Amino acid sequence: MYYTFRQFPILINGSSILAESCGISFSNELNPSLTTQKHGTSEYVSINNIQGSIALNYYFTGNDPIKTYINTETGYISGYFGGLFVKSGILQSYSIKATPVSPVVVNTNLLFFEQLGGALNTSTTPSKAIDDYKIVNFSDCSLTTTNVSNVDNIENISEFNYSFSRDVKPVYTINTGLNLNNLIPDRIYLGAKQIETSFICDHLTGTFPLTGKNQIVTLNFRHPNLSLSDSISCSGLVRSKTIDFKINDYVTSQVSVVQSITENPPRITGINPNYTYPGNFLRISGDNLNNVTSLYFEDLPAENYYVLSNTLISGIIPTGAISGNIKLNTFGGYVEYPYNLTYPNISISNVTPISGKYNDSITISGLNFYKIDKVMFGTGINGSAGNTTTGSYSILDGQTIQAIVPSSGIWDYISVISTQRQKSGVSPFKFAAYPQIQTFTPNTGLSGINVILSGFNFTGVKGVWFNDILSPSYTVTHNTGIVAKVPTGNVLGYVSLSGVSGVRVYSDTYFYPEVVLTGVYPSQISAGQRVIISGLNFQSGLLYNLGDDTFQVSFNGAVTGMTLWMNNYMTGLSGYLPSEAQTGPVYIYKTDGASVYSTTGNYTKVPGTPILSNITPDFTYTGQYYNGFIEGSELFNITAVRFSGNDNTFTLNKQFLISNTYLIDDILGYRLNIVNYTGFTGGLAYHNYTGTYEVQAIKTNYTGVLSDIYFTVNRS
Amino acid sequence: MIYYDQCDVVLNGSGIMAESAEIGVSPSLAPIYSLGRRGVWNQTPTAPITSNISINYYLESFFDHNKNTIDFIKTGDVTTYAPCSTIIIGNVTGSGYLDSFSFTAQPNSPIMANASYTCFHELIGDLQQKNNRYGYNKTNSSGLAHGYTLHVTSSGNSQIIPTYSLNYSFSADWKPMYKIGDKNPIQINYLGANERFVLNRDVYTGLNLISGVSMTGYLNVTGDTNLDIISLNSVANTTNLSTMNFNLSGAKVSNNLISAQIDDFVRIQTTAINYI
Repeated sequence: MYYTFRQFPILINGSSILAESCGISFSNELNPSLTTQKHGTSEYVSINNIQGSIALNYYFTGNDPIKTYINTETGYISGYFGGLFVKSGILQSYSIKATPVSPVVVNTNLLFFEQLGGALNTSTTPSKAIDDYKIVNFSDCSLTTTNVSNVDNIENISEFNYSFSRDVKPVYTINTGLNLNNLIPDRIYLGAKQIETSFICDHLTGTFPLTGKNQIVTLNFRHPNLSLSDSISCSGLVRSKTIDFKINDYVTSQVSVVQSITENPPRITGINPNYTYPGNFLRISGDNLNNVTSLYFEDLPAENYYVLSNTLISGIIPTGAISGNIKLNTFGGYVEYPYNLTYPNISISNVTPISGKYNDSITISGLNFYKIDKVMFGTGINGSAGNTTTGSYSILDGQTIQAIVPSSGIWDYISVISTQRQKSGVSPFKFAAYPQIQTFTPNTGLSGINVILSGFNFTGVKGVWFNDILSPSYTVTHNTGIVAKVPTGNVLGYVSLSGVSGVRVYSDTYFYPEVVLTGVYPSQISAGQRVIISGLNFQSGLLYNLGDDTFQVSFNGAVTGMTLWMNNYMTGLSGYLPSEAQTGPVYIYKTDGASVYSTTGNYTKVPGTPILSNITPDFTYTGQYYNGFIEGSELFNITAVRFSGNDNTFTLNKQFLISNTYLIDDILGYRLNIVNYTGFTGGLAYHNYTGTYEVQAIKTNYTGVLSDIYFTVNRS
Repeated sequence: MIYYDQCDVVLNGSGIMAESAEIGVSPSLAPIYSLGRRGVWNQTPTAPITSNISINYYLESFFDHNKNTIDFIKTGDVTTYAPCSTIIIGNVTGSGYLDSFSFTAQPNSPIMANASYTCFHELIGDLQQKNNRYGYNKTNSSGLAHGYTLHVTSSGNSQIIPTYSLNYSFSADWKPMYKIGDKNPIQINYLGANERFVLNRDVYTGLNLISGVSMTGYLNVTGDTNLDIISLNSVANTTNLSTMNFNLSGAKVSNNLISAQIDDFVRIQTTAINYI
């Protein structure tokens, strides 16, 4: 008759388990007893003991009576299988395959080297299964990986396989056993054991060091209704990695980690002292503390540690540690334990240099620069507002910080703060953050205008200077802006700021004051007469230099060069009125030679006696057009040109009026152009009309005479 | 009790004129038996929970969210974004990934579409009457898709070789990824999709290429591969029309079936598939 599974309960070490399946197999080793001259035999000889194995698969419910044997080398597993029993089972393999949202099923294989006891009890009335076991599901568990080097932590594991296996060999000696039906090994040799895990994840890097990479994989069992604290762990080296690409599937990476030593999970029972300082020793008591693979004080590794025994470790707390949890890894697993620290004070002994401008690097020296999260230029403590570095700071070591001067620095103490440790230190003296001028606008103008300066660290500025002349008023609008009034005086030069501790900083470019023209002396000038132009800011750097230290000035368009001039009362330019100048404004040229300053002066040109120096050509023919020009000076406002004189045969006294149409084409201060004059006619036809004539230029109240050069009219 | 006319059926915030809607939720539970006990200890989940939603509704040509999803799958960036739809049936709400979409166009009948979705996250909400928040039948039926106004191919060429019925179906594959320690997927990615066109006509065009015959040029002589569904109001006027377009280019003819029956004319059923 066949019986169903319900009638045969399974107990391991006396406890029920939710067995899914169980297979008991045993075999002997029989060899035929062959003799010479015979090809076969009906006799067999046993050459070894019966060896049995139990393949047991069960649901994990939080109480796993078999798992502890992974780390234990002593003790046997007893099993009751529906009436059959084994007293000395040995765990040979233990494996779990984790897939998302599935129950945890453990697969084990036990070996035994004895005769199975008892008999299957077919008369048992199976008791009803009741919902008193909570089956753990992988969706409730957590899987963590820790890379001991603290890089490449892996998440998103979609499949995880864990398997433990060990060599088990029975050892027999001659005369072993009680009888042929009850051969017990003298001892059981437990050989090499190994834990291997593999998991599938999305960590796709191709890095794979030759010497392997330390990896700790821990599966923590949890159940919503159970307070489980069980886990399985593998701590070893990454042995292989496979990256798979498949159509219609995700790209995955399968990583294998192998651990060749197993231990019982570690346990921490206490620490001594309970409160101590970073940098001190801490003694950790517990169990299974051999084979430590890593010891962390929260996020920092111990500076050093010593495994004194299986129950005692001494570790040096890193000087930068904060209170938190001791995190201990051994080959047997992982454990945490809280600890508390008292922190030493932060102190600052020096700041080098003691002053600097924005973006300068300074060095802060002191003690206990650990867990620093603020470096403030400005105390910012005790309720007062402070500033923080806007640039970066680097903690070089526990005694040295390199910080960057911010744009908002002020003349104040520097403070170094650790929020986690609730500690801070203040510099023994104030740091002077240099002001710095980036730009100013406008860069030219008259005295009294406002110039806006932009830059950094303006708080604490004591004065604004234009070419070392103090501004009469300025306002620091904010740490990056100043408005200052341009003083009177020679302000051509750099703009500078004076700060605390005698700091003086300069702009990169000049401020160019406007040249101001205040007067022209005398106001009525004749050509060639000396004239002085007075005003402010007449400096060679602001004027257009014609060479030989003469500077370009325009008298109503008539350009000339003038020299710098000053007396006790004013500065100015001195020169002579050009002959072609006419009444009008005076302009001073800027250094570009093309533009002029906005202020102008005015003068009145006093007309003078025309002076005639040349006529070209100095002859003509009767009856013909005459085209030529008369040169000299003071030729503006000529009203007539006269050719007069006589010779023995001809008298000419011709005066022609200045006309804009055809007689005079140009009247410049120095030249009259005569165009198409036909006045040279008449006289006796038969006489030679050659003769020299006086040429006069006539204007109101004045007559100019061409001297030494004569004009002749020849017979055509 | 909630009667059918009080049950909202909403797709991405728009009410749709559904004839029927279903939600099926299926946790994967397995009984736990153990040796030596009768009965089960428990039923335990063995796979993630999923929900399936199916809706039959009147297709409207002016806009359809499922058509939108199909167009995005064809042309959008599905490697970084897997389009999902928010579906509400009687206030029970789920985020669904379009598994299939299909409709059949027959002469003289409005076009009914069927869409089915898979939800990989749990549904939320409990069954409630509609709250008049969503609008339905926004075009007052003038935007309905109908056999009158479906053109194979486009409206200018559909009478060259008439089509007597058309079935369109789209299906997509989605793959969720789960990790140990989580009941919900950490990501859902699109893997592939295809469209299938089944047309009934009375003209036979042979398939003579072992490499397959493209639909381009197969349906009529002009090479038009558009399938236009114009709004129903186009039979009465030419204003305020809307058109839903499907493009058959890229599809290859996979099957031709000639069918002759008593009391009917000889029909040729052509099936073409486009893999996306």
